[in-house]
Amino acid sequence: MIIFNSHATISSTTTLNMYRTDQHFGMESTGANVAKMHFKSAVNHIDAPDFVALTTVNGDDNVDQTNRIAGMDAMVSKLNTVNKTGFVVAFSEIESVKPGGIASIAVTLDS
Amino acid sequence: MKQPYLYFGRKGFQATAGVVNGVYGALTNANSGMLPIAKANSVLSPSLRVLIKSTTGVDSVRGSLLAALPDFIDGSDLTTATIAGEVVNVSAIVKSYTIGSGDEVVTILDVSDTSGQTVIVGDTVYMEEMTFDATVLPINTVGADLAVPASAFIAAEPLAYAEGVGVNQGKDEAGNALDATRLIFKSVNKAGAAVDTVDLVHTAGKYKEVCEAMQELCNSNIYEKMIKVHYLTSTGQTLHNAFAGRGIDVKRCIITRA
Repeated sequence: MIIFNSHATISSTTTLNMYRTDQHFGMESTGANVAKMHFKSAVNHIDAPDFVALTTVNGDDNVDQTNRIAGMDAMVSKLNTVNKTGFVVAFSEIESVKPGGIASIAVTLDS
Repeated sequence: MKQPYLYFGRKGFQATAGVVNGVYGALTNANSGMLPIAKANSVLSPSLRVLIKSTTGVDSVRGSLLAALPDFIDGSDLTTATIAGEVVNVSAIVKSYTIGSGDEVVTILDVSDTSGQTVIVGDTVYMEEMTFDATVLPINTVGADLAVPASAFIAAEPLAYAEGVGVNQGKDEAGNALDATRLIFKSVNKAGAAVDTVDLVHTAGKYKEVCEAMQELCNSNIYEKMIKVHYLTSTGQTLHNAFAGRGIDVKRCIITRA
């Protein structure tokens, strides 16, 4: 299991989300300093995933590429972390867990 | 469950028959894996290399600026007449080719300009993306790259590759034969019946070696970061040794996402 906490205040459906690491479909770049993780949607649809957008530090095109890859690398490490006593915190605003130079995240739920 | 993740980045390439008026068909993600942006006749492209390989000797068809270049493959002297097998690097001269605004159409000047060359339909023109640069898109939108867990790998299958024309059909600019392989993955975008594909144009006769490389990578124990299988950087191409070490050179990588 893996946890994403995107906001300092947990107040809505996209501020703290848990997913199964074995239902992570993959990642891709979607913006200059954004890469997206795709998880099986919380509503269990087969035609669209839930997204976790990873926003990294913005620079020129080459810096952006390096930072996006670093962010994705960090998430692979998290996805492959085995924690038998609890879940893995991939990113947390509250706990200030921000691996791989990821500055912020945003969760988008399929509906 | 721990598992490796494979990372692929796009690389564009197309070999096509010469067009006498110099206006080539539009490049697309589907036909070449790249969308070059507009290029004026006053700048060099930092990424898109354009080569013409002649198949027949024709007098007075090469402009003086191109004729002053060495042959791209063997470095021999070129002249205003073409000789079968010669390769000229059109992209080495600022003015030789342009790309229209928003249309991804490469236009190469003819011999009426000192920077041009008039081709015949039997010649082959090679357009290849060499580095990661915003002059050839996409670089950071869907189709630019893909990171997939090894468990998403479904299959690999050969594809026909016959770009180019005449004696150069199915070969690169240096005469090396090429083949293609499709790598098929469960889609990153859908849990249902959909796939994403990575189509590689690579050194000929290496289907089995591509399968071996995928087997090696999918069964590796690298869990702390993605395995960078193939992608371009600002300095050129990065290809994992599982491929390069098996004598596989990758000319094109098209990512198609469901």
